[in-house]
Amino acid sequence: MKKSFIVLLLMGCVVSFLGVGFSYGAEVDILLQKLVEKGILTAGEAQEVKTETQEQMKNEIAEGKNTSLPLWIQNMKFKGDLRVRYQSERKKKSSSVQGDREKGRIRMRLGAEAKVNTKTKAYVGIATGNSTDNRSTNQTFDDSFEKKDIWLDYAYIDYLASPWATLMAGRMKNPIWQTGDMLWDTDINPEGAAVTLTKNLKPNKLDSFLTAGFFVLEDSDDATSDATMIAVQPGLTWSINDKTKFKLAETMYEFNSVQGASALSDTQNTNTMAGGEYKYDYDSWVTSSEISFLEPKLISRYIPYLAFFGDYVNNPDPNNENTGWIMGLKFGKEKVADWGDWQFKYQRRKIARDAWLDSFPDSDVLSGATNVKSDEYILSCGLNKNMTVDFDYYHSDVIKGSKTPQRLYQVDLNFKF
Amino acid sequence: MKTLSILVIFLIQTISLTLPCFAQKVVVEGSTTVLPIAQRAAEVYMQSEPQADISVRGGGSGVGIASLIDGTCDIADSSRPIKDTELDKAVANGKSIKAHVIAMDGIAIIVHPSNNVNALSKRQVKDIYTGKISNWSQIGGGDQKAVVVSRDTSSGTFEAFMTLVLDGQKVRPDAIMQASNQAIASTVARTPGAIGYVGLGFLSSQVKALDIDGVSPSKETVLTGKYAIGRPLFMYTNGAPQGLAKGLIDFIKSEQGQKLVDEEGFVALK
Repeated sequence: MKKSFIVLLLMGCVVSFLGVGFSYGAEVDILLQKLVEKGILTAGEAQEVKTETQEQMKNEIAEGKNTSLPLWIQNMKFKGDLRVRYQSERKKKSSSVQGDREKGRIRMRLGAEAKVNTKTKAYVGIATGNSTDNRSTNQTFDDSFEKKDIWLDYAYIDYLASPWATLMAGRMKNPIWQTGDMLWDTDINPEGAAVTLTKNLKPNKLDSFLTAGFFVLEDSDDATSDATMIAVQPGLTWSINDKTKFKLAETMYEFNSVQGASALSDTQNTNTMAGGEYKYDYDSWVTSSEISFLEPKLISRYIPYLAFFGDYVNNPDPNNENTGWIMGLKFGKEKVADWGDWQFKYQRRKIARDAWLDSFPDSDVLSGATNVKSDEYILSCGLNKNMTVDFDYYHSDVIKGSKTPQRLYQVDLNFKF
Repeated sequence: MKTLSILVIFLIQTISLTLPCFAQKVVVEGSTTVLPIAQRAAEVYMQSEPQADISVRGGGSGVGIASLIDGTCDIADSSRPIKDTELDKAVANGKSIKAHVIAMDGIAIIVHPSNNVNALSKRQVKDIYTGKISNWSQIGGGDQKAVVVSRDTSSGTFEAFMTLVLDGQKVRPDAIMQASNQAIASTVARTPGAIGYVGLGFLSSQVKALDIDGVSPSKETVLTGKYAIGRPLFMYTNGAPQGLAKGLIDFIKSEQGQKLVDEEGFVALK
């Protein structure tokens, strides 16, 4: 009772002090000290009252802050990022290939997450880019300061059907896990529906997941001719110990109405065609794996994180030029987010002509074609909180045919907010 | 009369059948630092209240607070104050979080009695433990190698030391790791040049406790907040605790409960 009275008294003091702009913490300390000196409270009780009062005030501020905001704002979260890029492309000139180019580019993305109800969320994002390129959100400094376009980047619903099942529908962030961007440029947001199931097989040790998606590639007048894709990806995440994690997934892709159809949008014309139509089917198998070490032994003082990763794709339809792989390593800080953080990444890839459709790979490797090989080196450094600079270097060339080696240098200033 | 007797028998039967439904259950989850206090208090409390069913588990402060917000535990143990982001989440979930300080955690820095260093700053302790200072002569002591003794990384005392002294930096790799406060005290007591850290309850004449930032470690200096290596330990509830949860927290705050706090090596509030 005595303590409750004192807490109430202190709360009153705190509110009063807040009102007149006093540093209330010090005032409360003095008051409690006096009470201890006079023997009304013990030092322990004073500590208890002081700390509990502070905690109660924090809670009341949180409650006040929350109820003072309109409900729709309470249910929304916003995020965004801005990237300013300098890019230099050095290509060997030939009759059909342009030579060196220098570019200034900008990318802006804004996203909102809205809580529809306790189980449903809606995600909407806009970004720079253009409507005919599915693999880039860049805008090049060009056209005498003409204003740049902004497009709908993603818009989808996420429904938590149960603690282990999530359904998604719309134009969504790619739900298929991959370790590199050999198959899917990270700017591609597939359109359709997907479900992700998760199950813990052993607490804190072994988790399994299954992602399945149905996506529309091209819509035609005849529904039977719509080009579509089904992807099914079962996988495991194994926490070998507190600091070592291994992730493995196998993905099965089935494409419908692609073989025998004309080229998909944004093709790079490197897949084999017969009479202007795809000669082969692209139903492929992909194996992806990554092993990561936090604070690896012997080198943890200098390298707090180390990971090795790789994807392998096989398209069984063609007899040759039907495989691809990417592998690499990264080390430094797991996430570069603040001053002093850094990460280095190296990856090598080689993807044959008909291993995969040439509308989807990373557009920085010879515009995203197949029949390419490439080495990529990335150094990311933190400049400040949410500010990073990336140095990215690609050395790419075709595997078969006349050589067109390309050296691509990119310097990116990234700002997240 | 017969009707009344039947009614009374029916009433007694109904009460006896529904009594098990009143057996209360409370789930306590969170900080591994607070875990020994919660476990000991629950054991003693359940002996005196046999109908009470108290389940205590660790997982860490963040896990406990998340469970309280999700409604999967009744009391969240925490060795740190609740974060603003957690409070925002709680409010968004319709929860009103109430804090209960149940004890203080105070850590004394100890050296071998032959060491002529009597006081250090918190920064100097950090530098010794991270390897920047490796010889006592660098801080006014004799020309002797500083032998660093630390708790194993799974202990709550280690976690507290990391937070309060090391600011999250790592202990030098050649540190001698020990599994208990007592083992640290024993190692320091027989190793000239050693430095270690223990809960206040483990101080003895076998080791010398150092002043930190000019303040001696004691129950009083920890309780008043003057000693730099101390922190409050919490139990959080959703609103004012009711029933068994209230009974358990009241018990821990009582004289008897605080005695258990003392026995577990923490600083009692009373």
